Amino acid sequence: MVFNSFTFLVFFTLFALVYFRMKGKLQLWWLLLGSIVFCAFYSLKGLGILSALIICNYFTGIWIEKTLRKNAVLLLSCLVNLGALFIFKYYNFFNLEFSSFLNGIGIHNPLPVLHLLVPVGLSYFILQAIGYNVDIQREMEPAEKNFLVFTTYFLYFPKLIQGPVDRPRNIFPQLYESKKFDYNRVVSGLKLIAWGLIKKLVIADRLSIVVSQVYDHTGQYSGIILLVAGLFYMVQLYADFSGYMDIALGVSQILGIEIMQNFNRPFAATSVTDFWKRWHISLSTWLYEYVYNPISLQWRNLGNWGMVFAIFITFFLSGLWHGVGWTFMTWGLINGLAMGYELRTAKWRKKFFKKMSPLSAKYLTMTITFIFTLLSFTFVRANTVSEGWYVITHLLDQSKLVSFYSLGLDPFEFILACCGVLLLLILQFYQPKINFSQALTSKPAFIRWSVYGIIALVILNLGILGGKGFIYAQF
Amino acid sequence: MDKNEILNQLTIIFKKIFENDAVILQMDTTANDVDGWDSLTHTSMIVEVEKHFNVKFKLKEVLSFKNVGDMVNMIHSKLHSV
Repeated sequence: MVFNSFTFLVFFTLFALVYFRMKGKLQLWWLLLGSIVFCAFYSLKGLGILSALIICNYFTGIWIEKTLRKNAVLLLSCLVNLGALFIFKYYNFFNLEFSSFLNGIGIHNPLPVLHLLVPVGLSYFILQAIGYNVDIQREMEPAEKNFLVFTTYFLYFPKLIQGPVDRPRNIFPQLYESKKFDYNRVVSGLKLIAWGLIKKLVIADRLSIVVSQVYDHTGQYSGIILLVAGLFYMVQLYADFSGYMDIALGVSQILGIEIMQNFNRPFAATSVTDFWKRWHISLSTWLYEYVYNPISLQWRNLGNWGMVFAIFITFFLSGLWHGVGWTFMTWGLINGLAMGYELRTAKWRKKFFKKMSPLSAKYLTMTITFIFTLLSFTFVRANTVSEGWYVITHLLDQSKLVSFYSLGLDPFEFILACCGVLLLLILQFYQPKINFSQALTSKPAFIRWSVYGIIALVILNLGILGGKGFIYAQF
Repeated sequence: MDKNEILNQLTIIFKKIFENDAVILQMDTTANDVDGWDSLTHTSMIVEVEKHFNVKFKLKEVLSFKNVGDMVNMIHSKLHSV
């Protein structure tokens, strides 16, 4: 049941109508029931596996809090969580690689191929579970004893499929409060949902047609075609993921629960380090808290090299978390290398850019970061590392050029896709002083409802309807 | 060395590490309040603080710092336990 489907519209409307008629514990039970139904729509088996992991983490959390052997119990809980992630997400990939290696030396691989369906949102679930247990081991947070609150946090449907990787400390307190219907909050949530749907249905899904055509037949194209496809993919990924986030934030806002924002104009970043403070913020901060920070502090006596090592490990794991395959690992390593370079040359770069006017330095660094991001994302979309490398090395090759209108979109559709790219990029680089959503609230009802009507027409007429899934849900 | 003096000396270190002369530290100052204090400069700052006060933090101690006050208290307790 994806957010951009009619099924979700019906589900959420019915769910919210009953939700606001309830109070206290009953409301929380209803929220849990809704989340269970939502999860069950994807897979009953997946729901069963997540439930088993919830029970396991509930008890390990309490155990870590009580025991003196906190490290040992934390290790046990990490083994359970990472073990589940490995079996469902990575086992077949590594097994296949292992088979290729063994076949090369003439040995048959005795390990079987597993036909398992990955439970919905497992990657996000595991990060939240590990963070929860580590916080208790560090004695920064108490274990949650209320099983209802604990389970609702993990299965909460607006963030179940693809995050944000919100911290329990942000959500637990909110689950103890009754939520009343608040007209302004609901309207604000609906506006966010509408903007998310425009990003997803009108922009991302339209761009995906060109992107799929080019990236699934990379050898047939070169030059500007590959560059446009690269740009389209970068914007598609942003529109898809941030569109999902807007819908998730909107849905959660309607229910009266604030979840973490995941984006802050990432393409306006002035360095790769800055980019990762603006893109998928909940994952970046999680990696900082639980991977980078402990490693870099542990290795702090090595000076900058200790930090470079920590960055490298962090981004390798980030790449691995995003997906199974060498393309994701390559992407993670490239980003790790770039951040390591930025760390080692921070003082030199600061001196260099001080010679320029602040505005020139800002736009130059923004452009460099933008190009780097575009090129590195090539490896996320490419089907293999060699195809990704082909794209990068054939950007200046003019031998295989074709008409833009032969890439799956007719002229009108292609121009519409370009307008979408332009709109999102303008909003990245130029932040309007007026908040359109708030400005609209103060206008007369006639104007407000006319705008809402136009937005609905845009979504229904220009959106690519069909309940296509979100990219980050695969990760 | 009392806590005020530790705070004053930390201010000098912070100004140097974050290359920001406008830094004014209070006990409740956090990373969000200091321009340049981010995930990458945090480790350099910890190394410099350890060197300056001739103390060694355990990993768990550093991870538990929620604000400058926590660091001041930790340095104070380490200096006075020697």
